[in-house]
Amino acid sequence: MGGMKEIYASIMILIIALIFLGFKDQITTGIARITGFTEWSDVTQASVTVNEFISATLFNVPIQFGSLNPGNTSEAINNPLIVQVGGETNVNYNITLNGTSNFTSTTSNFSISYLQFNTTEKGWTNYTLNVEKTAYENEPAPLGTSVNKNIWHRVGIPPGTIAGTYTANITVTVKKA
Amino acid sequence: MKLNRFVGFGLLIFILTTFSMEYGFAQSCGFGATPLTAHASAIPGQKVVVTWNLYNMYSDRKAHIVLSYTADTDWEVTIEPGPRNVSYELPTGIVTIQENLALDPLPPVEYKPEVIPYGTSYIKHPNADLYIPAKVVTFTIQVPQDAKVGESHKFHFIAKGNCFTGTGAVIPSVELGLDVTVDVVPQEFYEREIIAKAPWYIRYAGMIMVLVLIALAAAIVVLVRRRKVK
Repeated sequence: MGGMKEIYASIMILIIALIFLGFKDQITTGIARITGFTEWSDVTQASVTVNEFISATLFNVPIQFGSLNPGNTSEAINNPLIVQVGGETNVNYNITLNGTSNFTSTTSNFSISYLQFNTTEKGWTNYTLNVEKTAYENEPAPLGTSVNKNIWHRVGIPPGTIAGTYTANITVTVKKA
Repeated sequence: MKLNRFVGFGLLIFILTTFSMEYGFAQSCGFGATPLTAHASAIPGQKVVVTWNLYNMYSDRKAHIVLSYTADTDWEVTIEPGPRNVSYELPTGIVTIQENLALDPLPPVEYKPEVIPYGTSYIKHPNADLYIPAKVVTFTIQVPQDAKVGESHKFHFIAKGNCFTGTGAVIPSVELGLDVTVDVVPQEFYEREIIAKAPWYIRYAGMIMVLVLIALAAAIVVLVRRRKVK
């Protein structure tokens, strides 16, 4: 009976050890934090987010070529397509062009790659179906006054094209640079 | 001299008339958007609601907007207003198109109206003391319950605008975008110092203390047994 106290004591110590094992991470983290705690300071940051605006309006739409003979190439009669970037736009921007359909009539079609565009920054560039091509890159934000960006178009009618009225679609994307 | 004056005057009238007619009949199509980027933190299971303002300040035509999105994840996304078929009567006949919303050309205003209809807003003009009338589009991103804390996903919302601008060989449309990033975060904030660079006796303090306590317990047991033997 005399040794029962020591057995209880050792059981208690074992329980304490097991509890300690269970909360080892929390306890040691606290120790590490305290040992590294030599200086304390706080910085209050003030942050504000300025909302971004962008707008684009197309003038001289739709693009018209009139009547052409197969094998001929002609510029649009209402050139240039004007992309007006609104004065409220407060980000630098890129303008990209994407041919989203081929030229189609009720009976026939031909590739959008016969359509080309030209800007003050690029030479004549062919459209490719569903491929974005850059027309203007990293243009500065207008900040108050609307800016016009001109895009000229020309089309070459493939030889042997069946007579008809053909239409195609393009997408002008104005995005934050 | 009189004839020259008449010719000059006539030429001026002709230029002015031609210019004003061309200007008067100039077709324009476009729209604007704000904001262009957004960042959100969400816990698993939460819904992230992003509002986007679209406006039409400059064009002379109604812009018909189709909304879509691309994402690097298959999380559920809903777009409000949803796509619908709308019929319009044009001089050439009735045309039915699918659109999410239509933006009428509206100039900025000096004062916000007292009653703002549902789905519209008045945004402060960034350069003038005016308000831009806009329509509000809502994107709701459902963060799944099993989303892992720390993962981040990007969503690109697209508004594509078209106008009825008559016949022509090439019909251009305008496209603007909104980039949204969603970070998955834990429900409770914590800040835990990583102790990899702490001294060895701190890094192993827990294990050392456990060993000491076990050794102490073992010693007590041994002592008790020795006493019993005596």
